[in-house]
Amino acid sequence: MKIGPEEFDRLSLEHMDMLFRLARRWTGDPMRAEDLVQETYLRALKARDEFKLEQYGIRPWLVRIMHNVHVTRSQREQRQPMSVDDAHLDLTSQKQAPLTRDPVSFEGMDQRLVKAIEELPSEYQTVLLLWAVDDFSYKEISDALEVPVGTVMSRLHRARSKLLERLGDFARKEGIIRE
Amino acid sequence: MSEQSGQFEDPALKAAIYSALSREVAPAQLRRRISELMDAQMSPRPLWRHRNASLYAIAATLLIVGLGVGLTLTLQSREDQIPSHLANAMVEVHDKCKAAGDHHLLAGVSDSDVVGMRKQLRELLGHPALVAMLGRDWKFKGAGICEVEGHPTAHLLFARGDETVSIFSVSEKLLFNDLPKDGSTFSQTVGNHELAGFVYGGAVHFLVGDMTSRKLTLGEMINLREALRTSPAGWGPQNNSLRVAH
Repeated sequence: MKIGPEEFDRLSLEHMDMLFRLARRWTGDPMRAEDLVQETYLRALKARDEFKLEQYGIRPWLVRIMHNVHVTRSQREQRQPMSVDDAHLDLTSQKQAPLTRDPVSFEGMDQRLVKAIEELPSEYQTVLLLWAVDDFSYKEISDALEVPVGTVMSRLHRARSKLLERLGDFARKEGIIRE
Repeated sequence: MSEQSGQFEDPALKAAIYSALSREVAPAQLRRRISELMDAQMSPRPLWRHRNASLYAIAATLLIVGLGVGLTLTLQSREDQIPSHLANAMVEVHDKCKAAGDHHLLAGVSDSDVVGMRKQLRELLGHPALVAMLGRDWKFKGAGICEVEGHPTAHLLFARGDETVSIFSVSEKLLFNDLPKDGSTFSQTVGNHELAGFVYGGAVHFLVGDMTSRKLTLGEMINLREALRTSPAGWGPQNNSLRVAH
């Protein structure tokens, strides 16, 4: 179903927070995240006339645009984050650059959980964020990131296991993660 | 944890992550910039830069022929989607000056004297010339008057590593009769170059960025343009650098 430009703008603006959260995790830097989100909207606006509102709405489409922009940029910088397999993600999870933190945005957050999430590979953070914060279904995540549903499931399970390792007794005590 | 309907179920984990991360929101300045971009896309554009200008062209031509009035030439001049000849010419000048290296072409004024350069260019050209330092690692390579399609045009050149950006201030004589009002903006792509411009003071000011290195983005170009368009740094008597929102 085609939608008008005003409806397109309204729908796409609703998801800017979601895109920014993802961009922060993908880039590790708030300034680069802003640039990535802005580039995403520029691309989306250029493609506005071709956009059709389908089963999952505009969210996966916007994430897919941003993901493609990010991967292209990363490949240009020869980092190629999406070329690694999940086993490699596990091995490299300790090497993740710490996120540059904006104290205002994180006010009141559970710092231990936030820190544990930020130490996960960005691919795991992405599925966790989309699943927990933005309530994406597996299929929506699969559609947005252009990976099989099985990969989404395995990343969620691995992410949960990693969080359990990092948070340990604290997570169990707080009821964040159950055995 | 359980799995129902093929979905990963762990409401406690989900709630904790939601609680921890959902309050992180996009900065207000980013929201404002993107809203402005959308507004700019929504607002009526001058005919010469409308994406669907070819449709207007056909409609206008049919109308004119049908009515048999003698306005054909005038309307056809408005039918160009963009001043592509001008865009191509500026890209050519950008590439040529970039290759030449030394771009310090103004006599009797130093590189650091922004006000002096601005004054001299205005006196020589008869219209405002945008002169501002771009900051943010952009090194000023010089300013001068270069010919674009045979017309003298203010041209500043900046470099950041292997990336280059030019600022042209072009007389309205190079454009059409119905120059858009001050503050009008546009952007377009010519090969590996992105152009972003705006109208101010009877002239059109273009940023031309060489995207060959694939580091400079259209988003950054738009940021630079917006900062130039909304900041007094390029026009007033002050000598300050541009503050670009990133």
